[in-house]
Amino acid sequence: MFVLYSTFYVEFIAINVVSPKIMGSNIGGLNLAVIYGMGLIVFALMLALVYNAICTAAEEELNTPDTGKEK
Amino acid sequence: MYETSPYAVSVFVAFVALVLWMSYYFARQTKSAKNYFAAGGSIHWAVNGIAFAGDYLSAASFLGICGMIATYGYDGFLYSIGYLAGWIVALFVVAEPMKRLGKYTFTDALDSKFNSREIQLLAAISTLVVSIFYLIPQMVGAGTLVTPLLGLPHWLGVVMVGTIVIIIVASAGMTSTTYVQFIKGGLLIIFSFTLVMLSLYKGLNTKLELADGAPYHEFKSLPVEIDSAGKIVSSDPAFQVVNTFDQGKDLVFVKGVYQGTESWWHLILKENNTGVLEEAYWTKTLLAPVKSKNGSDSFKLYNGVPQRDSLPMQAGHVGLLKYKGETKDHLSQLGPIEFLEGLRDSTIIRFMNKSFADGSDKVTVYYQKATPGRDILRPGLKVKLDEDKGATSADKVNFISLMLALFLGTAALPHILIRYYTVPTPAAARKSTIVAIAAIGLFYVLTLYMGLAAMVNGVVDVTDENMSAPLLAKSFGITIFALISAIAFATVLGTVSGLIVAASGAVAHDLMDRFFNMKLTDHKKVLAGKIAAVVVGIIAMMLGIVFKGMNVSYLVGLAFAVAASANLPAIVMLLFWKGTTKQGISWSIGAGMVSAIAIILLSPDMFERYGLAKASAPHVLNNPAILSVPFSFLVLIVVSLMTKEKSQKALKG
Repeated sequence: MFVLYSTFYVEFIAINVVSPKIMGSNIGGLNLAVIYGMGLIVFALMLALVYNAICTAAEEELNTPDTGKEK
Repeated sequence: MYETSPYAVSVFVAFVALVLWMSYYFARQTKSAKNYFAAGGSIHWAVNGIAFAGDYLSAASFLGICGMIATYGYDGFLYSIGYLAGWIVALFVVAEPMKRLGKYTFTDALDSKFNSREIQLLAAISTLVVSIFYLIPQMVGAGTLVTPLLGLPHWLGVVMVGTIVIIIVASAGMTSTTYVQFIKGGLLIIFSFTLVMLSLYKGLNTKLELADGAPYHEFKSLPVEIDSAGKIVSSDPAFQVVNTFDQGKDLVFVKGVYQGTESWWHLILKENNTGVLEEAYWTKTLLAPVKSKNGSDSFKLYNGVPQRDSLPMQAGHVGLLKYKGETKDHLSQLGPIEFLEGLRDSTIIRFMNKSFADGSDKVTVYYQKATPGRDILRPGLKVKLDEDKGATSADKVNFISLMLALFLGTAALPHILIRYYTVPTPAAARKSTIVAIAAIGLFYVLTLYMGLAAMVNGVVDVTDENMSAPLLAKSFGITIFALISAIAFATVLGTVSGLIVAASGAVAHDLMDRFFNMKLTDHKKVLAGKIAAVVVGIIAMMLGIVFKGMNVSYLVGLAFAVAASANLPAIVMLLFWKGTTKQGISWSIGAGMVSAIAIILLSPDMFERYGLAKASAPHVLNNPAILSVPFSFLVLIVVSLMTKEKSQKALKG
């Protein structure tokens, strides 16, 4: 999951460096920069939630709180 | 100078006193219940999560990011994105494996495996250095907060915070508890939310009015002609040109006398030898002082008036308002998307500045710069990325370097990692981290709106962008202004005392007790810690005064870079590479720290601080992370490989 997020983050930097004009292009009422930036924030939260769900499930399965950390 | 209202001051003082009393009260409770944190189950994970947010959202976030967005638009938001992304690194990469090692802090984890004195020394120094770097922006921020509210000069604000914190730390040994941070964090988010709602309700206006009904300063513009000799001629008899200053890059400034007073103008050339002079704000540092109203000497003029007697120089407005293809006077009661849409299609007047010599005096002109909203809502106004606008590869490298530092820095800040482990069970720790990410994420979305609202509402103080968010609050009335300032100030107090405790702990515990083996008694150790706290506090105060006016987020970016360079390679390699040796760790901490600081001290931005020309700096990098982080990794690997056999032999022997 970390790799997934890093990729998303690196892509954001790459677009900015390689062709900054794309960031100004419109998508609906907003531009890509705003949507991507907000996206990075929301995506971080989503990943954290998924991560929590996986860990919690693992914990319940093993029924000992500590082993959930092995995930 | 800002006028003060006794009402605002009393709200502020009452709130800060309340917070101080609460910290004290809870700190005493903590003492009486020894296993407060060990038993810990009493703190709900949601409370703890907001407390994380309260701890993390320091001056840098509230003041720095809003200020940067208010001046440069989207580029400030890049910091928000980077800070939040850093939490993902902390959560996935560093925190979990460290928890598995059963260790909580940077020094502990390193120490448990090697128990080496060099590592203790370097880890302690690095904690100290990172803390001090992180303290600078907090101090700058504190000074910023009290200026508009209490009408005090910046340095006095810094000294005030420093003194309060030193007293707290040195006398009571304050433990800033979870509940205090919870309340501060919660309130900060709630009031920021309110502020954004108010701003959206107010919307975008071309005619501005400040809270007390005073009209926004109307910037004059004068049509002029350029005669055959290249002289600027105005048809307005009230105006005379005194001198022109060509600063290159199409920047021509005109010093003039308008209706009998000195004024500064920015010349915009049009076709057929005509042009327009746009009125600018200006400050001047004088060689010979003038008398201010109360008779004291003043070496600084603000718009021609001695600094003490001058009005705040607030500016920034919508030049041309367009929405869905139509030109409008005002738009109110906007939704969050409509606000950004309106801003994107409009033209915003921002204020840029340029300093140069006027005879023996030094003048800084804050001139109007019409910027398309489209450019504000994408990166590029501060970090240059578009080659068409003259971005060089150095600019791009700087940008990557900054984003790298923000991404890796959070996980390497010692006090953030400690926070991660204040709850009892792993599940609760995880859940509260998620609450923290949600709260911090929400807050960062709000910063975008607060910053942009400050930009268009004529509230940004052109001499210090850090004040943008509190001044935006001020434009909605004095109560919300006083409350927001008080909350932010309390947050600064909390962060500063936490950092000072951490730094003095590094000196007293790690350095004196363990490294120098001084075997201090408990009593002496506490005393040493207190003395260290006072010294660190004084250093931080001095640096806070020196760095006035520099964006606090920018400064935090540097702190992050130092942390990421010194600590992160050590942590990551310790966790994921078996070949790591203790020499590798020590060298990597040292190399990362020294290289990062050296690059910062020799950077163009710092040269500007020293009063030298930017171009005279030996290199172009303003944020060191891109060089110093890989360098630190490299040093760790090379030194580890070199010393591997030796340490294995030592283990066997």
